[in-house]
Amino acid sequence: MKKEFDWFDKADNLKRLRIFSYILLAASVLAEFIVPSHGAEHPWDRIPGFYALFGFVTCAAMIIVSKLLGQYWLKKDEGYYDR
Amino acid sequence: MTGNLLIPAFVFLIGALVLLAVRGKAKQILILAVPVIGFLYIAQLSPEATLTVPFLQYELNPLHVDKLSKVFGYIFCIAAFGSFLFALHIEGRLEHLAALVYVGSALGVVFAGDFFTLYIFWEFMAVASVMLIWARKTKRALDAGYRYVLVHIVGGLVLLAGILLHVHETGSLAVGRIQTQDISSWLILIGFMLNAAVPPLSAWLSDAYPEGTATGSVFLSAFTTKTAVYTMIRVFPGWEVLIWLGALMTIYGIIYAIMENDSRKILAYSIINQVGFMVCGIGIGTAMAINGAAAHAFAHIIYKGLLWMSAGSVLYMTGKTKCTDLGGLYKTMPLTLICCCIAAASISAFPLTSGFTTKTMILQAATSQHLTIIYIMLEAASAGVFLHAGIKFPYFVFFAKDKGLRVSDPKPNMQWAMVFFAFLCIAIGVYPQPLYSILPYPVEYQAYTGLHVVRMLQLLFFSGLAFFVFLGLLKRTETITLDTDWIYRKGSRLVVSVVTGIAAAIARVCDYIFIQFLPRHLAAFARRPIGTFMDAYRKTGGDKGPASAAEPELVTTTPAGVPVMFAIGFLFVLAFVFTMLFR
Repeated sequence: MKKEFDWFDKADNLKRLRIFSYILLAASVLAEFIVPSHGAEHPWDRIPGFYALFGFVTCAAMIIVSKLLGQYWLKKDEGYYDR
Repeated sequence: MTGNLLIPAFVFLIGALVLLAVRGKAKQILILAVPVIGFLYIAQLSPEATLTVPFLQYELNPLHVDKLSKVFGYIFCIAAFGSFLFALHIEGRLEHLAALVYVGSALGVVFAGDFFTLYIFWEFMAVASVMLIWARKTKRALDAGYRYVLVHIVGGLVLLAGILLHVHETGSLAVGRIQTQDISSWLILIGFMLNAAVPPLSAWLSDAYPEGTATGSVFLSAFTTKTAVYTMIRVFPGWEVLIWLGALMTIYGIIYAIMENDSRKILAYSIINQVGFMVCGIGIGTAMAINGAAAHAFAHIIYKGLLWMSAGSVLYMTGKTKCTDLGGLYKTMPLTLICCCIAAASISAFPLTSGFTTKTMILQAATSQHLTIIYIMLEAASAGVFLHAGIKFPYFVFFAKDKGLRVSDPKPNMQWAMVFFAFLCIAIGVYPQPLYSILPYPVEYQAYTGLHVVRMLQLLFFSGLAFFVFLGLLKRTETITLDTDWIYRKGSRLVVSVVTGIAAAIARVCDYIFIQFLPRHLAAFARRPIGTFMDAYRKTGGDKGPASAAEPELVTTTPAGVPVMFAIGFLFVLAFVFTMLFR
């Protein structure tokens, strides 16, 4: 029997993946210093790493907002409409 | 009747008729050939091609060809080809028949030069598409289909009312830009907004699309909302309200997609999010924004179709859609996973995918018009897209906790359909010029600048980081999420119980007055005119006379009071009318 592909289940591999991801994160911020910066259209375009911070913060905010909305208001058990 | 008799819709509708006569291999060839013929036919149509049909004192124009209608014509045929390839293995005729009529009607709307033709095809779309939901043959699908079709009938009636008022005001049936903001234009806009799933008129989408069949929902994801986007581009470009509604839609879709547990509901909400970008572009209304909206619709139909295909493959193989039931499928469904990831990257607008070369045009248009708040909202939504459709969907379906499901990739035709769409996602991302060249306006936009690429990567990578940092908050729960369909699913019951409660109370009061109280006293009065008054006098005055004999009770088992009240009221009205007429 063919051995199952289970690369993502191995702790070693996940660790490698995590390190690779951190390198990607850092590289994306550092790359901003290399690419030509002309064409800045917004005041915040000159702040290095602004989009990285913006992406993280807005996503965190959206996750928290939907968590709260779900917890206290909108999430119901699956039989809700059958009653 | 003059002009080009064959409108693109008829290619599909004739195909639907032929479908009734063929079976087996011939049927498969037919459903793949029809979109190809449609595509080639649309490609050779020139703007001079017209068809005029006299209708009452008006003239219908079911064939109006320009660059905009051709873009949507092309993509609808491409989407139909991919979706039919994905559904090629389906045995019966019903789903194929419904899909052919559905696509044909969508093309009918796109090439309609007058509102009457547009409205007829608009309604055909609703009726044909509901068959793709009912074909699932579950109770839930049946119920959701009924709600879907009812909502669309109401939306269609609003549209019709708007069209009739508009024609009455302007004397013209022609589909064209409307600038005056009056009741007729608002009614037409609401009709369009309902089909484009603009909240709060959006709940039909997330309610019904996830209940469609594994293959049917691929069709559904492409046509209804994008037809509405097309009609909005035609009729309402530059309406400022659409800028804000579109931007809110993008956020709304994300917030709900994060809450959802059903993988196909996540995709449904992500349609609302993506259409939001297009609606926003239509509201901005500049040449670049309209180009962006059209290009994004083009790219969106492909990657969203691909996402629904991968979810459909999972449903087809496992019978499951809920994130809480799925996980670990990467081990045995490699091709589905890869195609899903390409679609996820495209919807998130990763460089080298179709989202990057199309969606960013709308963002650029917002920047050019100095719409700073809108720009920030759209950037936030771009980050959120990666969060819910880019990572959450593939992560919980293919990775996360292994649920022990061991199913292979789906049937070969389904795999080929996914590969075809995945190829297009990359092709448009790497080489967007062919798409740019067919857009309504000349394109002067360069997607691939160093700054664009780096910023987009920063935004997306750190959104991804947020996903894994907050994974604890994103834990799946076996829940559903309330949306505005609550109003007609639960609220309607409330209305019914309140109305029946009020009606019952009125019935009781009438019953008492007209069946029990009045007849008894009138009967008593008729029998002993004076004695009755004496009795009443004795009761109030305390003159202790002999109590009157008990009257026979007039009891009724049914609440007949209301009809009696109406009958009496009717007699009064008759008497009044009679005296007024003949005095």
